[in-house]
Amino acid sequence: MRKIPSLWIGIIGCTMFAIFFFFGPYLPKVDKNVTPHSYVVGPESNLDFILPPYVPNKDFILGSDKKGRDIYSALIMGTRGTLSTVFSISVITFLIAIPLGAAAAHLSFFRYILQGWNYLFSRLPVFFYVIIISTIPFFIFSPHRAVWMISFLIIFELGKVGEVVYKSVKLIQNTTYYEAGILAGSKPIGLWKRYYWPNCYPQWVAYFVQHIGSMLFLLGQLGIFGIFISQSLSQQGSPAYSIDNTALVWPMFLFDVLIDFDAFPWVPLFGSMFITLSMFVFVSLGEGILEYHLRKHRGLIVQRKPFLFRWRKQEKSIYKEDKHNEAG
Amino acid sequence: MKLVLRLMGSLLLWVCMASVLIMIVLLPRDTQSHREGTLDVMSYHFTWEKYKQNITNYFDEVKAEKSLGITKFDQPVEVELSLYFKRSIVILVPALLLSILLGVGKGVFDYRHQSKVGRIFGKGSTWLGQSVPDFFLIFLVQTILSIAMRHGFPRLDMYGDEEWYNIFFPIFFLSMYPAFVIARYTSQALEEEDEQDYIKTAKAKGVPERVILWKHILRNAMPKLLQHFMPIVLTLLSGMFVVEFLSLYHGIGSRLINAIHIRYSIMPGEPLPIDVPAVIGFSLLIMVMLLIAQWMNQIFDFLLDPKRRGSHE
Repeated sequence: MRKIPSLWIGIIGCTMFAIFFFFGPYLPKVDKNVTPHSYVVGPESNLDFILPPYVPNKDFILGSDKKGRDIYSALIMGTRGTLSTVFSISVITFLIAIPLGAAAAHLSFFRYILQGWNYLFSRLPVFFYVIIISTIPFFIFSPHRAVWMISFLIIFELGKVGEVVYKSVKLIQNTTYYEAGILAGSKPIGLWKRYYWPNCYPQWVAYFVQHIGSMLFLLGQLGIFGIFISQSLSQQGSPAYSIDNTALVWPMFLFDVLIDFDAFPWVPLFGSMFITLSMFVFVSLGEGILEYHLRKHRGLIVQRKPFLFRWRKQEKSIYKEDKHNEAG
Repeated sequence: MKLVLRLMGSLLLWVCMASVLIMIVLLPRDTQSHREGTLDVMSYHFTWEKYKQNITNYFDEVKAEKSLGITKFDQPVEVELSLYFKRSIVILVPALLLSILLGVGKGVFDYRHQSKVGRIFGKGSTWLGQSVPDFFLIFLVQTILSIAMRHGFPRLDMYGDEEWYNIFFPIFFLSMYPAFVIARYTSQALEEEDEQDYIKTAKAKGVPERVILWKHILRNAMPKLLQHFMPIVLTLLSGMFVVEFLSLYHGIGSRLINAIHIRYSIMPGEPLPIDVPAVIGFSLLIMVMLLIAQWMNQIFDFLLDPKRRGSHE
């Protein structure tokens, strides 16, 4: 464990984001409500009003956007919204894809379903599907837009993930020790518990973590074009209703970037930096988990005997034998 | 024969997908609204008559004009397609080649430098590269260059598509992310091949290490790498939208985004039209490019299959 820096980077980074996630509102200098400031009184307090956006300074550590919202607070408060969206997409995708992939490796019926699904949805960029579908008026007006968008993303990702699961299960089915397991009379549950799961789960966990990263990438790309998961219509002054992003998420700072970038580059820069940072954390955590299991598999990481006594029948008997041998 | 059948299979699926896509694009986009107090309640009602009318209208126009339609710039779609296709293909193909070249090179570097220091520059930088989305790279490079230009760095023309040298920045931005992904796959595949018996045999025979790496291991890892060809092409294409949009390079991606009319504000009750002929034309163009990529993948897969070579010899 000591020798795998990627695992450490991943764990430390994930802890950091977990702190943002759970204790974000209590961190120092974080403005819980992310209040927009329409002006700030100048340093001399002789009534010179400074209008947003603000360059990064003492009050606004990472600057502010056009509405005068502190980017530092918004990014930390946005952790909850962003990560829970991305997490829910990945978790549901994997919850469906793992049984589907495992079933496809056994039954040809599911194999055809998986194949057809892949042909339909994995042959075009997901980004392309999403921009075509999100402009259908039904999804613009639907009050459940977030649910619709998330379920579409799950549908588009399902085939890809299912294929990976299918391949890893198939790989085990081709090994000789699997055949030995069948010959010894293992039931499907036993096969799952002792053959597929121990070998596949490091791969799946690593892939899951990387999948979260790729979903963040996708949400960022969509944010550039002003397509958000949750939107609402609001009327301000004119008869037209503007479509606004309602959730506080990281990609919201990427919107309008072509206009923003020259004048106040810190807005998209810090927004996308947070996405990059979290992707880096997830990628290195995934790599670290794979590396750890690879080393364990090769016997480079020795499992120490449990420090405290544990209720396990097998180990108990081994200890007894050891004692017996020592005594003898 | 088997190859031809497979290619035809992809074509058939392609036709199915294209027709589904056209059907989605032709969905009616009228909206309704009624007033409730001070609020306009907007809603969307789908009717089959309207949908049918849309479809027949479009196909009648296609039949009459012998073209995919007229875009909102009063141009036949084909004219626009050929213009934008030329622009996009000169960044897409070099970006693909560059990312494969860089990726395989970096993967081999990562594989060969597994010492403590080598790991930081090898695998460590590959993780870092994999977690940099293309948009962040663009923002970063732009910021750094603009600061540098303020301090006397020669002015670079980064945006637009007027000059021939404008293609370099999009190619660079487009190829970086796929290159690092390919690098990871390459070093992974090399490590998996590493412990095979034929490598040990080659080493025992005294074949120089360079030859083993490039001729034996890499040659045998090729089919494994080829599995990732389509995902890489897909990443490249979805990156194309972002890169073209952000570097103001008017190619297929930014034209399609333009044609789709992403709405930021709505008048109650107004229809939300999209530029149907342009969307259909450019989507079909993207799908044709993907079909060609798919065919290339299948042909390479066929050529590299060791079983086929074995039966020939």
